[in-house]
Amino acid sequence: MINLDFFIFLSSGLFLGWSLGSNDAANIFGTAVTSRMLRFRTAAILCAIFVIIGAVISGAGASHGLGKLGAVNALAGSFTVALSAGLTVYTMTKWGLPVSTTQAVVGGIIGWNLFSDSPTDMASLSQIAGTWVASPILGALFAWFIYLGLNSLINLVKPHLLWLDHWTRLGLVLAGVFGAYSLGANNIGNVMGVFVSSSPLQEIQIGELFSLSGPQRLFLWGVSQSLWGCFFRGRL
Amino acid sequence: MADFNFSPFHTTRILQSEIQEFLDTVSVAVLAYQEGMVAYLKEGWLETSEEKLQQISSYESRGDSLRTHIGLTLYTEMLLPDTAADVLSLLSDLDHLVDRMSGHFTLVGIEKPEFPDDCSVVIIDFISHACGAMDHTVTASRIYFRDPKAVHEQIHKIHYHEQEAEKIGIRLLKSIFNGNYPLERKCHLRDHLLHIDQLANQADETGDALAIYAVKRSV
Repeated sequence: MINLDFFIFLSSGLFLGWSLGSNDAANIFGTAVTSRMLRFRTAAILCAIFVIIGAVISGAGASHGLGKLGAVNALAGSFTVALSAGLTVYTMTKWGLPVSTTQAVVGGIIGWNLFSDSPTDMASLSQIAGTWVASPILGALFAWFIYLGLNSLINLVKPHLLWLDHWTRLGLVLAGVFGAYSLGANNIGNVMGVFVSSSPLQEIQIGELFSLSGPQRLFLWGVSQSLWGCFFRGRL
Repeated sequence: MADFNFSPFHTTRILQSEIQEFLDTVSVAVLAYQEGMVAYLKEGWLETSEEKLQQISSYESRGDSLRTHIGLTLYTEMLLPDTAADVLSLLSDLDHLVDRMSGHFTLVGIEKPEFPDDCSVVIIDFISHACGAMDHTVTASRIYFRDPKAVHEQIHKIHYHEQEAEKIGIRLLKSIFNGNYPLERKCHLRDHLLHIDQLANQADETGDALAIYAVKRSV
């Protein structure tokens, strides 16, 4: 039997998940929807499906990474970290600023470590901070090479305008799907990761073939709120 | 079931063939107009001219229906909105060219203007340049769909034909108004020459617009 307290504490994680959905979903399908190449409904459905798949299949990896940063093994600590991160993301989103959920969660964990006089693993922190420097550089390099490659390919093949439009639309869908999967795998893990060590959720069996582990059930809760944020705010 | 808003392959194929057919229709309408006008100048309004008028009229109605269908499909199922607007505007301009040719040739059939015999060769040259401008506009349009950077190679040919048509048109008008014809005949011939000149002008304007569409796609 799961204690009701757990769900009260989990509410801050769900709030962070909601903030994540309303902020980050825009990064995935925003271009395709605002340029009217994809309908909102299509984008939202694809987003929902692949965020869930990403969170359930690969969500654990990111949560392990954050888990090394500091021991947030009390439910109250997880609640505080998620609430502070959720408020940060929500406020930034309100101001129209794109914000990193990971940075907000890392800030929350460090704050909790300072409050509870727990050690912060500096090696993990520098590794995580390193990804913040590397991510935009890698993103820029990927964008540059992909742009050059596609541009050369288009100049070589000279596709008909209609086919170019067709493939562009398909490319936007694939990129969005990939982005949604990554959102589920990376960010949902970050959002719910702080609850993993204090979660009482156990593995459950669905039918004969499938089972969901405790962390996966946790990530599904996070995803549900994230999707609610993305649909409710309607700002993919 | 979700309605995925990217076109299935068959819609793209059908639309591509419809655009191809539309451009073919404009192209053959230009040929029919040129042949019809030359036939009228050489032998008067006989069977050949009547036959060409029927052809041009059928091309006009086919062009109209194709343009309407292409426009609907473009806006409902395909293309970045900005590009769709450019494509539709281009097709609309080309369709307008066919309408003008059809309108003018119908007028020729009704009014039967009496062009002076000594001007026939120059008028044929005049028509040839006007039709050349229109033909290169169609060629440039075909290129736009595949290789926008190569469009400008056709644009200067459109300009050349339009400028030549304008020079010949002015020379013809001077020659007619300096001639010993009644004023009403002079005015009548002037109207028809202006109709032909308008075709070259509109082809030139379409070419200019096309150059901008091509730059937008190349950026």
